[in-house]
Amino acid sequence: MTLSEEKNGNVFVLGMSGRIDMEGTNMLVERITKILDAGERYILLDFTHVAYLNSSGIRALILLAKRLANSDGKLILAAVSDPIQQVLKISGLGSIFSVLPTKAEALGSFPQ
Amino acid sequence: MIEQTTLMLKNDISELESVMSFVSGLCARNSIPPEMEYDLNLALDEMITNVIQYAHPEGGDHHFTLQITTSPEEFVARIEDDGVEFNPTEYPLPDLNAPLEKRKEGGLGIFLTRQIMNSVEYQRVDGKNFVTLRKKLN
Repeated sequence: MTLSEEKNGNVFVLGMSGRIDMEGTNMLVERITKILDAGERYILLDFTHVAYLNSSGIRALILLAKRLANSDGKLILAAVSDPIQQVLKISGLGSIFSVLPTKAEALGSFPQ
Repeated sequence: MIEQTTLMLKNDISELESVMSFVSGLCARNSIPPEMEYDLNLALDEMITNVIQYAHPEGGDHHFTLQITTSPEEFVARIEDDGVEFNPTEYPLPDLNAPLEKRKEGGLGIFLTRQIMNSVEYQRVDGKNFVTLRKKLN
C-alpha cells in the first residue's frame, strides 16, 4: 500500500492506495499514530484507490475512531467501494463510521 | 468441470500473497465475479492469518495445507494444520451492537468469515485442525 497526505484547512487528508491487509494496516497505523501525535483531530481517509480491507484494517479504523471520539475529533471515510462498504456493514460499523461518497463531500462535512 | 488444487504453505504472512494470486487466477478461469472474489479472498485471508499467527505459539517453521476445490456450483477450501486445537465455529462472536467505546477488536475476522461463507465446518482429527469453508457460486 502507498499513502499520500495533504492538509486542507483544518482537515488532514490521508489517501490510501492498494490493499489494507495486515501489512497495509501496519503501515497505516504507524502513519496515523504520527498524525494524531502531531495534534491532528479532523481526519479524512480517502478510499478511492483501496481495493481491499480485512479485519486487521477494520480493527485499526475502530481504534482510530475511538481515539478521535475521545479528543473531540472527527473521522470521515470517503469514496468507499461497494464490497468494502459491505464488509463494514456486516461488521456492524455501517452506522458508526461516517462514510461519504466523495472526498469533496467529506471535506465539506468537517467543522470549519 | 471440477478443479482441485492443494497449496503447501509456510507459517509466514507473506504466503497470503501467493494464495490471493491463486484465487485471482481461479476466479478468472471460472468467471467468478469480483464481489464473490472479494469474499473468497477475505475468508481465506482471515482463516489463514489465524493459522499463521496462532497455530504454533512455540514459534519455528511449520507448514500447513490449503486445498481448494471449485465446481460450477461451489467453492470449497479446506485448511489443514497440525497446530494447537482451535475451533473457529465455537469462537465467541463480537458484540456488534456495542457502542464504539465498548467495541472489542478481537474475533472480527472469524465472524466475517462465518457471515460471508455459506458454511464453516471444523474437525479435530489425529492432532490436526481441519477447517472447511464453503461458498455457493450460483
